[in-house]
Amino acid sequence: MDYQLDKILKSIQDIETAFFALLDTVQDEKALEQARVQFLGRKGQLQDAFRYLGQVEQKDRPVIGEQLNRLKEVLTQALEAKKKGLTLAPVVSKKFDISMPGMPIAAGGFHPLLQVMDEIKDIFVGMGFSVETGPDIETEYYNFEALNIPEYHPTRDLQDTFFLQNRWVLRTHTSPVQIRTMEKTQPPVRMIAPGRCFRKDTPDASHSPTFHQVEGLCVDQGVTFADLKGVILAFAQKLFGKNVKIRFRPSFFPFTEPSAEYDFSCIICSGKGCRLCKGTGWLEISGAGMVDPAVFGFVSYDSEKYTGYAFGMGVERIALLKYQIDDIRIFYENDLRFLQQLN
Amino acid sequence: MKVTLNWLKDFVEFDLAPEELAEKLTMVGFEVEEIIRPKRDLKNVVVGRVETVMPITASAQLKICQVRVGSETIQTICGAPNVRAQMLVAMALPGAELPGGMIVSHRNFDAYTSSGMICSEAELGLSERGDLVMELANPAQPGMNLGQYLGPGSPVLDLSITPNRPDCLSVIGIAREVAAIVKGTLRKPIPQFEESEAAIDRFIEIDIRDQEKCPRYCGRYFSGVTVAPSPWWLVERLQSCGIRPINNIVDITNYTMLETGQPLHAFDYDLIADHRIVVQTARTGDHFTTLDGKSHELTENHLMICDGQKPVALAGIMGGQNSEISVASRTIFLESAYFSPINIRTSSKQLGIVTESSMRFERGADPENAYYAINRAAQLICELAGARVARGVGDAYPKWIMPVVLDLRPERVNQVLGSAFTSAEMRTTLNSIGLNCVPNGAQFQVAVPTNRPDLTREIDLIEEIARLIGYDEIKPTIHAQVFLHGEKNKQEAFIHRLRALCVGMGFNESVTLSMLNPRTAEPFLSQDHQLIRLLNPLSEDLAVMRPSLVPSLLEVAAYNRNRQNYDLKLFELGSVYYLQAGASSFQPIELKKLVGIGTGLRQPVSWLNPGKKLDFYDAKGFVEHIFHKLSITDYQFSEYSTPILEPPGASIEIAGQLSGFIGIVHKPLMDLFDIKGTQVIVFEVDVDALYQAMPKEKRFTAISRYPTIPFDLAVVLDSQIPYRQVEQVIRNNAGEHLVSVRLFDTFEGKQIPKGKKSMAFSLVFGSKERTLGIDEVNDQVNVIISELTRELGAYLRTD
Repeated sequence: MDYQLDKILKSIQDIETAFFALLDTVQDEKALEQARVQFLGRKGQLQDAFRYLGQVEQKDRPVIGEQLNRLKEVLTQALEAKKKGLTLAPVVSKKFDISMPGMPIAAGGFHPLLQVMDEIKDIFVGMGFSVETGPDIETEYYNFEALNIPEYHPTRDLQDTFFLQNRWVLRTHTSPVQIRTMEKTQPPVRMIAPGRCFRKDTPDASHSPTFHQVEGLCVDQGVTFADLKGVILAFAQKLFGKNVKIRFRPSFFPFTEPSAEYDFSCIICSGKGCRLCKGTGWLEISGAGMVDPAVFGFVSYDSEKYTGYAFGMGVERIALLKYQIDDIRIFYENDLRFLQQLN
Repeated sequence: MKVTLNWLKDFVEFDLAPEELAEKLTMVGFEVEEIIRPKRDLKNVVVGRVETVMPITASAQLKICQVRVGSETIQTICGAPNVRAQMLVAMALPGAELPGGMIVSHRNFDAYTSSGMICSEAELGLSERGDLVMELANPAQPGMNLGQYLGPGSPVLDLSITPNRPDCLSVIGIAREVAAIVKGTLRKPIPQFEESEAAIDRFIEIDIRDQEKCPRYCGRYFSGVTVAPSPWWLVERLQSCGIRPINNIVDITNYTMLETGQPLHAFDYDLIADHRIVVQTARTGDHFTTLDGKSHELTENHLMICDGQKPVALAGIMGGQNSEISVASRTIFLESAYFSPINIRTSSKQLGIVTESSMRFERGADPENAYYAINRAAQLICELAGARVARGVGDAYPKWIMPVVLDLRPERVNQVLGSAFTSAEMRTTLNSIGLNCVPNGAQFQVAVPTNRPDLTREIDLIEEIARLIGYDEIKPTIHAQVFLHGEKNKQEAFIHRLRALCVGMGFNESVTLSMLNPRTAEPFLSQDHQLIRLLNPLSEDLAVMRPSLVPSLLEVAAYNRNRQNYDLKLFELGSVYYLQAGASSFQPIELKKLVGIGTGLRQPVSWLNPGKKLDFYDAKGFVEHIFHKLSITDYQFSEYSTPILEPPGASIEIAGQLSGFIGIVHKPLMDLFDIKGTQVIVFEVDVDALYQAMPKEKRFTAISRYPTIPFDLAVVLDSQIPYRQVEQVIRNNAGEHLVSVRLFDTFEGKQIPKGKKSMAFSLVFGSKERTLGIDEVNDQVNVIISELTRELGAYLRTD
């Protein structure tokens, strides 16, 4: 025996140690390539070591062969891994300082109140309602009479009205649009009337002489109070989430019979009672009811054949709840910081 | 309407906490706005019995009283005129702290020691009555704590009564609803009292001259009346309901009104001339002084209660000073009538008087109740004022008001409500509020008593059924018999698109009020328009409808600048309102306008952007962008003179019509809004003009597959020549292949002769059919140059 197996195995081990020592010093792809050539190249150290196979006895060959193949495998993988690592490492570019602030954009935005209005419209359009509009300055006929609010009737006092000359008024609700729509269409009617309204309320945290409403109307054969509850429930859940419940309380409006006030379960405490709902668990939203047959009389609809429901809502009220704002006046101040915050 | 729980319990039995009752009333249509719990702090105040009263000789008023409180007797000095021996009083012991903060102690008056104090209701914080000491009417052991004697004050519910429910402006009316809620019965006792021999006819004659306005008039006569303060229990109830005590007679009329809902009025009988009551309308021009001392000018619309010679009351609204009850009154005539709601409403509005009485009559009182109530009041007057009442009620009822009978179809109830209520349920429900149902085939005939003037149609009964069974019992469904496509109308969709365009240009949307101060509005009003004034504005600041959105947005700009928001681009799309000057009738005009204003920097300042300020060309660019996006081509900007704009402003014409303007806001207006040290650009466009001019359909035009050829051209020409002329000459001479013209530079100064300017254009040529040759482009440009020279005296810039 003129060779020692141990020695050969040791020198194979040395190649591995030397390789990893070198690899640690590699910083770029060029050095990596040099290392590859030095160890795995055709004249590299590993190729050199394969010569041992010719110098040893038949019985030792498998052991050495196995070691050499293992080493080749290890080296190849280490080189691959190092290469990946080099590519991923951060590069300081000479062209850009990517930490510099980018170009500022002065973006515009929709008014928070009208965003809510648009959202309400979209929900109802999705449920098959058309959008109808009418003038802000109305006649007493459309604002009162045709809605079953006769002159010299206490129900006129329900809303504080701004009067203009010659029996013109600033509409106190968007309900006149219902009359205008029914005058020009036959049932089935399914519409909403969004728009500005006016009431002689001194501005405070919850009142504004100008405000926005969305009113809805559905007239057809077989329309019921249960359908009214259904549409309000669907709306509530679309707006505030699947867990919202609704509550209808009897009330009075001259243009609906039966009439109701409707509430949503509190969106903060889910009905347990909190500051927002004043401990009641319910948030008052607005009024609704079945269209009074007297109103159908004004537009010549057959109130035996057709029934209908109508509902209203104050956009400000919903926006206050949605954004959790506690003073309505902020909507009309149009402070840029407010406008941009809710965009 | 305020009502105490214990008053309700006089008429219906229930065992509900105030909160539970409030919840249940709310769910049948009577929203409870507040539950009020009276607080009484009466420590060290006890029931005392006055044993002896001795006047102090040196004083006209002061008396020495020996008051027994339990086992001991206390000597105290009292100045109240009503203190007398054997009287039960509220005695504050030394050391007691009264609600007003006073601490009761020992005091000396001349030679006399006074311990403790006999208290008035005012001193105990129980009422406003302070001139007399409180008299305890019910027997009690001296020494008993006063709080225990009075018992806890009853909780009060403050109910919001809708105008269709006059019957519930009364304790009995609400008790009826409570009875329906708890499925109990309403107990309405028949008033018991003794009448004297002499019949009413001997004392009064009632003559109704206007039966439409007064269908029923009941009266009673009382003699031997002692007008005095009311007992505590009555005062307590009145006060809980928000009514101030006056004297026993007036208090009893108020008490009866609260209890029954029927307004009553008591006259001093001796002041009724000829002992006649004539119900008739006034003569126009007559004057009448009401109880509150105010004089009113009357018209023949006003119904008056007159005696044999003169009016003594404004019917259903307020009594007159000339027949008012006083402490001296010994005989009384009591009125309980039914007046037509519309007449009371009209008079109350015209005269500007709203009373508890007018409020009930205008909503609709109950003619049957007029009779019940006068007897209830008679009972109380006999009991509390020591009066004798003449036999019978003077009852003029020329125009009988019959109970209404309505048909009710049970299947219609379910059709309207989407419910599945049974006929039996419906009947029980209506019965519970006193509506009697008689079956008639598949229907019911429902008798509506006169206390429910709001029930006139089947639908009204349907509501009663729904609210009493409970809206919660109707389960939500979705009506989907007919497919209807929901859509925003085209105008609405267009408005949304315009708003989105503005947002896309970096504008923030504003929402402002529709009303302005006329001083703010006036400068923005065009000469042939007039402001629309509100007849009843909230304030001068909101007295006219805005004729323009510009002042509204300038207010917003000023508001923001005061809060250090200096860089602003704001828009509003909204209505403006005005009248045509010289129009023969009042015909308001309402138009939608889009207005944008800008001030400060064009872009936020940064290391990339030196921060240029918005100027006229920004305003123009915004409007041009809108036209471009809407594919509107038929528009023009012309020089425009208006007080709103710093000259030169520009008008916007769409399809030849003046449709808006652009420019810089004029200095005097900036001063009006107190905006200093900046300029504000503005554009206004008529929304409808844009909508009309916009092509409704968009069509694809093929995009050229061949390369284009750019050509830059700089010419020098007279400074005075407007850009539009130069572009016109270029376009007119560019042949068919010109794709676009863009001004990319303009320059005056060095290298350019004085009075001249340089304009540099980037022209692009191209064809959809082929690739153009460079030579043909050169040839075309030469044509342009020679025409620019010929027409405008321009020459090529060569440096």
